[in-house]
Amino acid sequence: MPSVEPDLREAAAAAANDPVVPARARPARTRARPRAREAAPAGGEPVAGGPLDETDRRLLRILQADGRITNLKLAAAVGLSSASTHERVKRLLRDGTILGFSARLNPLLLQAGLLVFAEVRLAEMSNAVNAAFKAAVQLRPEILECHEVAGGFDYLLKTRVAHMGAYRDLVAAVAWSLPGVRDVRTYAVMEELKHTTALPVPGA
Amino acid sequence: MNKPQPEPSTVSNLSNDKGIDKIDARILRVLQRDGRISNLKLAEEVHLSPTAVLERVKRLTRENFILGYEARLNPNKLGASMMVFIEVLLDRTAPDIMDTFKAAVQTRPEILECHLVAGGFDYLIKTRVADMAAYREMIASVIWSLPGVRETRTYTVMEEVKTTNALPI
Repeated sequence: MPSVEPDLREAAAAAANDPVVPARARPARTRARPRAREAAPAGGEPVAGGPLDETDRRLLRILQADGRITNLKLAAAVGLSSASTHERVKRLLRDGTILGFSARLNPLLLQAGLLVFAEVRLAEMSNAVNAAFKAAVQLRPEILECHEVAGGFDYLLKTRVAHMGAYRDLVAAVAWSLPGVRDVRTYAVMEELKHTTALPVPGA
Repeated sequence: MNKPQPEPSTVSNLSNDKGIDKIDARILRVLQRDGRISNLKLAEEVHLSPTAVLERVKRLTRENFILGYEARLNPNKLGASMMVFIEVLLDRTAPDIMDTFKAAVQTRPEILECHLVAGGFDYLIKTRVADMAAYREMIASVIWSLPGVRETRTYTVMEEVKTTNALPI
């Protein structure tokens, strides 16, 4: 876990900065695109850190669905040699497009069948209160996500617990014990209509 | 959830009440962190023979503890760096409206999650988009076009303090 957190924090920090920049004005993309076209003739290998080509996107879509697919099968699926498929996956890992691989586990069998969201409001938006809250959130594995949002409250938490009693203990430990938390609104999930971790990978 | 829980007194090597022992739990933790670890390395990490580890992973998969494996991708590299949550309130919670809603959210890959919640609103939706314009287009074509939607509230994420898919084990 700790090994992936820095990546995610970097990604999160970048995500927080990104929205203000329109997609076509992003320096990385405008700079890299022409270079990649020169360097990559038809069927060639794109430049690391450059824009993704259609083969990259197909690789990413397949790997999101089956992270343990063999290189041989992956190569057959995208119509490349296994050597160049392997090269591409390595490049996508190196340039940070692929952050890692994970097993998807079943929350219902692992005492995490209850999904609960919580909206947290702080009494004051001071740096000290924020830092204390963020530190408390990192300590608890039941808290899968915590986002600082713009809107009617300060933080949105996504938690997975065994039952309401476990959720109560979690809130008591993370929120009620901190001086700066004004209130916590709890929203228990009755039905997960859709739940995927797969990102939309653009292209046909 | 309604799985029979083993008695702690009768099953001595169970680490917890999850129906798995300590070694299973360690295997699951490692696989959540590194889904492409080789069987040999996994065996080293949990101090078992490769054959025994392979057997356990097979069993954990067969018994549905492991649902699959996936690559974790970087949203910033894929034009999905903006995370937005939407709270949706319906006029009334009628089965036909709920079915329409359920079908509509499946159609868009930008909608990662949609949950029916108990509380002050009906649905909580998690989306990842490139920018506000993309978000506006998505909510207009998927949500506002549906019958029975009374109100939507948009919450833009300024900072992802923590994001993981790994379950606590």
